[in-house]
Amino acid sequence: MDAVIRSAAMYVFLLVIFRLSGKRTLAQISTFDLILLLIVSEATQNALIGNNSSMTHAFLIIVTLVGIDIALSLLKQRWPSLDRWIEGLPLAVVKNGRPLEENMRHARVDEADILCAARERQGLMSMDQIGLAVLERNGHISIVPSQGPVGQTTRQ
Amino acid sequence: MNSVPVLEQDSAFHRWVWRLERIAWGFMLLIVVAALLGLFGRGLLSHGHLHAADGSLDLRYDRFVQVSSETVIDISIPARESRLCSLWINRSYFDRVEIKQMIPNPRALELSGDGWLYTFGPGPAGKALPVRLLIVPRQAGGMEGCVNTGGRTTLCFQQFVYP
Repeated sequence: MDAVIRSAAMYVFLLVIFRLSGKRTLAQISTFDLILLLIVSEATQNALIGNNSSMTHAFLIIVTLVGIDIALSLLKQRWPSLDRWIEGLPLAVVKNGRPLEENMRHARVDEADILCAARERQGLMSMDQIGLAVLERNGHISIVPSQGPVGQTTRQ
Repeated sequence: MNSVPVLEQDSAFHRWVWRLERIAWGFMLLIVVAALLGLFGRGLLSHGHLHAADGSLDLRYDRFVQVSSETVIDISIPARESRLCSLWINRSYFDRVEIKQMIPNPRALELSGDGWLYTFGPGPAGKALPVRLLIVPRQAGGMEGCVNTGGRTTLCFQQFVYP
């Protein structure tokens, strides 16, 4: 019972903490972010395993975590609104070469991050070559080069 | 002609999320401050000190501890020249903790009433005998320990064990 409860509690806790810390925490943009995630994984492992290193305990943890993941994905299919609250929505941070300052500020993204993504993904060198830059749900920045009119639909 | 990219935007939703994030950050900061102050163990808020009015017992402990995490209880037993010192602890406390070490080692251990009676050698002349218990809580929740050194006074202390 202990293994199941601990696993479920840790899963929910990590889900909430990373959801509320903002998308950029997931993106591993810097060495420090990577170190943070490594330390978090170590702390999580210690809390899950404790003093019990049996295979049964490990099996229970894995089954519980995978089970919760499956249940969550089924719930998101059933209730799409749950998906947007858990995973979030993509956020435009640059449109037609112009940075969207408010969105960038709230998402803690700066121009250097966007230009880095533009160089890495599209080989673009300046902001005005970017048609659309989007902070995706997983914390990465995707770049659409400027090719002409960029349209968007807005949910009413 | 290239297709026009379409991106769903919901400003109201994003604002809601940003507001929630900032509230959560404030809450996280409160947790860190509370932890530094000892609300989760080993700090100002956690230090507990009890002293028997008749001087028969002095007890220092942590009010807040964590499961599987070692904590220390310091007990001062008044000196009785050339006489053995004794310490009684309630058995129900031992049901919830594991004693990793007791310093000094007791000479004898026997069941006494609903507790365990430890017997130590005579303390240093004119000074109290310090006894240190290194314990590890095994269950989360509140627990109460009671100690007595053979005098009239029993000191009871409460600890909360975080999971």
